[in-house]
Amino acid sequence: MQSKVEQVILSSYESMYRLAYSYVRNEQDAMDVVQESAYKCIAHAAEIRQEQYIKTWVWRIVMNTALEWKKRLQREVATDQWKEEAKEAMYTNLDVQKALHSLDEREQMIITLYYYEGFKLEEVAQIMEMNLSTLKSTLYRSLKKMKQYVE
Amino acid sequence: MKKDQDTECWNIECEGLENEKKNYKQIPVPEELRERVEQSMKQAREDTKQKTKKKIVPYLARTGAGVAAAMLVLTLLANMSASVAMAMENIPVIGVIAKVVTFRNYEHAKEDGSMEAKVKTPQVELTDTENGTEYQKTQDQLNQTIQDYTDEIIAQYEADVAAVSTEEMTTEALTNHESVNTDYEVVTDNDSLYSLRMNTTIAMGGSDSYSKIYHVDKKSGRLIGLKDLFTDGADYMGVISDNIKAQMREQMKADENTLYFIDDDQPEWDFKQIKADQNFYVNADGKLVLVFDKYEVAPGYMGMVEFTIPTDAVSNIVKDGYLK
Repeated sequence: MQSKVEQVILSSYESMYRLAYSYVRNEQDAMDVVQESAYKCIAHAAEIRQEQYIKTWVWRIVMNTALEWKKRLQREVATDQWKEEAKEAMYTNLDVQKALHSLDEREQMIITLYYYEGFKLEEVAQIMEMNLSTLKSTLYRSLKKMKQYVE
Repeated sequence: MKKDQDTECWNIECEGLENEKKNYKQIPVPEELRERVEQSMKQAREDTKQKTKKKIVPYLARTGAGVAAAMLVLTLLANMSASVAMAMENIPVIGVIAKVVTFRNYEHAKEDGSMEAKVKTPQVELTDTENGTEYQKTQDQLNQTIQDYTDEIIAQYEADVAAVSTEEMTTEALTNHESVNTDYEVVTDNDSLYSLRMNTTIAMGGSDSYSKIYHVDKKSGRLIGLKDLFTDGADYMGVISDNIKAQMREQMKADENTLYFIDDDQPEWDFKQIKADQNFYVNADGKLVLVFDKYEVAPGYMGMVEFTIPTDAVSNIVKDGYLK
């Protein structure tokens, strides 16, 4: 099972990095998140019983690690400094970017997984540990919120 | 970009999101990352092979053993008698006196920190010199109801703990962090009502919070619900719901970050009417406050929401003595 998990990680570590980066907003921390996730996944790989869940299982670990990491960072970094860093990000479409950032972390995560990473709704639901209908309504609400923000 | 047929961007302008996706995909990935990831995985393989309990990274150690010995603390607090409690707080005894104490304090935490629960079960003592028996009955009924309520929460939690500990462990359970917290507070204690609110928060990936409020009518000595505040046959649900809808619209207009399920493109999600037994309490100003659980009428980020109903709005249907 370890080697199968390893394959999943090696095939998607770049995506994991982007997801982590969109949360922690700097290279070093994003790399740490991916590394720590990779460690956790391999260390716990033996506990996976059903192969078809490897992918969502791995991503859930990445997501949880990223959120934990960000929480830790936010405790350390003063808020204004935090915003400064976010501003330096490479984004160009400010409205949409701002709208996205007006969502809470989990809502952002859902948008990222679904629209950017192309996961199926069922997979996003597994990663986020939500039931499908809650996920759908959350996704819909998030988009609506963004739309209102942009208008 | 893949879309499910039933979503199709939910009819929402997605162009901006498409551009944003391009930007996202262009986030540069440092070259050294692959090597570092491989190294981490190698380290993890070695650590698991050794099977020594040596904890190299203390932070990671916490996520260790899937089946950790559980620690159980069950405390039965000595139950204060109402008279002692009143004497301690120096409350003059006139009419009904209600006193609440924590009867049972259930605490449980798994060693690896992955699951924890704190569930407080209160016990209410009602005393009234004139009408002792009726209150005794109400008191027993209320305490039994509360205990059933917390028993259910504890049972559900213990079932989850057991599920994670057995061989049947699924991948779903592996990274579950579950935290259950139930507490109580007295939300109303005036001449006419005594109301005890149970609050429960369950965090499991996402989080859910809900409450249940119990009311003792001090005049009749009975447990009552929302309908009992209003005259028989009054359309209190309609009147209150209309008022809440107006408040929702007003708040959404005033603050763009406020969002309720109302006037939606998808009307099936809209808030239509309060439940007959909707949670409520009477605040210190004597105003009726309706309480909604998380997700009930608003997206999760709004949490649990409350609406205070101006007494004017219900003045022609409310019974005397409950609201001001």
